[in-house]
Amino acid sequence: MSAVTRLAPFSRVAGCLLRGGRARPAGGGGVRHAGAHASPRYRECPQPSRYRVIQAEILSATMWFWILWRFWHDSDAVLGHFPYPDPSQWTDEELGIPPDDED
Amino acid sequence: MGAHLGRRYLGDASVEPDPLHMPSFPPDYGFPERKERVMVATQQEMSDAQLTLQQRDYCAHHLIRLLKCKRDSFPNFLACRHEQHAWDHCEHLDYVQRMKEYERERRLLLRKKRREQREARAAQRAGEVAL
Amino acid sequence: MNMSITFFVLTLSTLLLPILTSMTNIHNKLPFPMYVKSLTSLSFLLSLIPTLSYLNSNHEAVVTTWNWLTIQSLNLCMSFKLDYFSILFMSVALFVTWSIMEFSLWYMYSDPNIDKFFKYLLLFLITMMVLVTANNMFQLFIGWEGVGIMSFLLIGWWYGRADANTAALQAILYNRIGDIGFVLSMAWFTMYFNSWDLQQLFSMQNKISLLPLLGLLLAATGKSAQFGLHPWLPSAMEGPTPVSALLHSSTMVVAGVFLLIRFSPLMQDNYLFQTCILCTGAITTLFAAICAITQNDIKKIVAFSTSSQLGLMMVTIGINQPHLAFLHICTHAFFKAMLFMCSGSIIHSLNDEQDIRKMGGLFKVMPMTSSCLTIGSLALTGMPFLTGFYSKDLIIEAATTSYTNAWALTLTLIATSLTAAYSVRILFFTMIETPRFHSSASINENNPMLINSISRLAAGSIFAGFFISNSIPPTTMYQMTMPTYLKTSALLVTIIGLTIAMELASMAYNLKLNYSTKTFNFSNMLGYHSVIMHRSVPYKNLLMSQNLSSVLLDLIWLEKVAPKGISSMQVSAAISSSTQTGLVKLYFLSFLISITLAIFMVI
Repeated sequence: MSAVTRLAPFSRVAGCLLRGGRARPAGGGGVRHAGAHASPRYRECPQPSRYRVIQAEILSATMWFWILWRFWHDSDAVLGHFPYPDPSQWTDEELGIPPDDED
Repeated sequence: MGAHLGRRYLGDASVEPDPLHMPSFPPDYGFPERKERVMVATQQEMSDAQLTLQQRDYCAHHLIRLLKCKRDSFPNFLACRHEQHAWDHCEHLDYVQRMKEYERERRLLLRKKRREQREARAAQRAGEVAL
Repeated sequence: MNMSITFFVLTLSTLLLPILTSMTNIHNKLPFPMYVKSLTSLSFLLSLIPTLSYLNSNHEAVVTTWNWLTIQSLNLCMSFKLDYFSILFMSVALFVTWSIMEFSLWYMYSDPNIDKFFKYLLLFLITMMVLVTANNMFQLFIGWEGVGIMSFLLIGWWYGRADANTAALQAILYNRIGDIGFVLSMAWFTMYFNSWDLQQLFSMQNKISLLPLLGLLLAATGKSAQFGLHPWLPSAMEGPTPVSALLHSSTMVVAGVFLLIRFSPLMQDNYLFQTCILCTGAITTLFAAICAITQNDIKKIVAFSTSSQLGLMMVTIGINQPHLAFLHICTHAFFKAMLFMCSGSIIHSLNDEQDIRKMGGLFKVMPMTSSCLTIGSLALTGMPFLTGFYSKDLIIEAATTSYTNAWALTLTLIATSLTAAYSVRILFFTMIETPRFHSSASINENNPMLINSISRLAAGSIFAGFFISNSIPPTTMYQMTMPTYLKTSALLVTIIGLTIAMELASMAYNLKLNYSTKTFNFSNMLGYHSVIMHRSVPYKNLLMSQNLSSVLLDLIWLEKVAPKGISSMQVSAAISSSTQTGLVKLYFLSFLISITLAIFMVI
């Protein structure tokens, strides 16, 4: 499942956040505008403001929390509400089938 | 799904019940003291609760209770889990009941076929003896 | 109860206010777009009152305000129907439109005609409200046509572009084909039932023939872009992104499905007609999913996913679960509007670049947009407990446990797994891997109007399904009893589609591209539909007439037969009748004859 390895950036971004954005490229790591516009860059990807990154992480975390929380409380909706009966287990008496040689 | 159609076309159609003309045997066949199922909710109650026609089944009394609960505890839409489950469970049991009717029909058809085969064999044997 | 009707009418009239005051100076404290947006949000808040009242008391009502005209026994009134469908849909549509309008404040910021744009958006919404709340077919038809006209104006918003004009014309022409069906059934109802009121039509449901129902199906096919009349939907992506979001989430394309839901009492016993709907829907959902897989334009992928979901709604109507189809309309509106708005945000930031091959790495650069895009895609694929799950899972379960056409069911399941595949494709191409966009793109999503609107819809995509499905009154019985493999089938096919897509994407990541295959071309050229329907017929016509005029007429009749034919005949006749051949040796030979004759004479 090499496909899974491609999802690595999704988990890595939290690491970036925890490191406090130390891995900033040289030259660009000066002033950070809190919540306001991203600072202009020369031939680099613009860096989103810290506030937005945290907001986005919170949004995704809310989604995962909601999914897992509902699954914990409401797993019926995914796994099935009631057990499915097996028709071959029903006996003839239960279904009212007389034996072959009767009447 | 297509499993039923597949069994009817590819398998033995004589022992596969036709769900559109289902009880081809009398309901009390093999059940000497079988009673007819009784509706719990009356016609008047169902009209008062404004149930649609599809909802007026043997579980209607549970549904009426659920609707009442929903109305009583209105802003809290999570309050009626118990009533919801009771209704769902009743519908589930109703479905199992229908499954049992289907299985009964299938086994009765099988039994009828076995009996016919045995009679045919007996008739054949009688014919051989007579010759 | 009376309060709820008052507030319902107030909701509608609040929406009309900006249209009426746009000529005056009343709103000059705010810019007109802001004013429209605030009134839409106010209208949404007002619409919550009748909605909550309905959820509490479960009472339906019909408001008849104005007797329009009476022709003998046919009575036309202006009447509004406040039932489950219209009340719930109004709240959802107003919520989504509110967010879309806030988004377009950001997206259309530099447009010189932004006032007109907002007026069009509002009219689009109002006509949809008219359609939804109509209690007779005539009023429904007004809304139906109004939606068509407004979509024409909005799709062709950038009328300087030839593509936009073509797309707008295409939309309105395809809708006219659907309208033929609508008018047909209206005519049939007047002729045989002498009424256009919905409750009177429903009371005659045993006496209806197949013809008006087929007319309704044709109308729904045109409006909801079902297979055969679908090509206008991807073309409509030429319009501005807010228009696409509005068109695809809560207005226009759901109008067709809504029509069938509205008329579902007429068709609930007609199994032949249900099978027709089922097959139309199943073919559409698979075809659109196949087309979505190979598109490279991000908006077109989302557009085809809408088409696929509309097919799924048709399938749901085809298995006689109109309430479930309606639930899917409501939940679908949230995440589809959000997907369009996220793609709009990406497109705007990358200087109007729509090709997903030229994106990538946006995960780091646009955190909010990518979070919302992920939530929207997961909700679309039916991730458990997100909004899409609450309707999609029920639809798949209802389909697998019903007496339905197994082929249609299989097509639907394949389309469901393809949904996961193309959603992954969008995420894969736009968000992860290395950036492939131009480095001078000024990426900036720090605008509160963008962030607020998409995060509001993101919250809707997470929670709305739970709230809606828990608070609506129990409408139809959902199948609760089924084997586990059927219960999890919706989830399983999605996971299979997702895994296969991821695996193929990583396998093909470093491969050289081959020449495209026939099946790829089929999918990429949208099933050759426009080639066959639009190109080949005029092309053959042109070729034939060109041949007729230049070859047959000019070359053969006017040239070969008359002048050249006569001249060549004359030449050959002259040649054959003349003795003058210009061959000196023959002349000398003719001397031989005369010499021999002279010798014989002498002898």
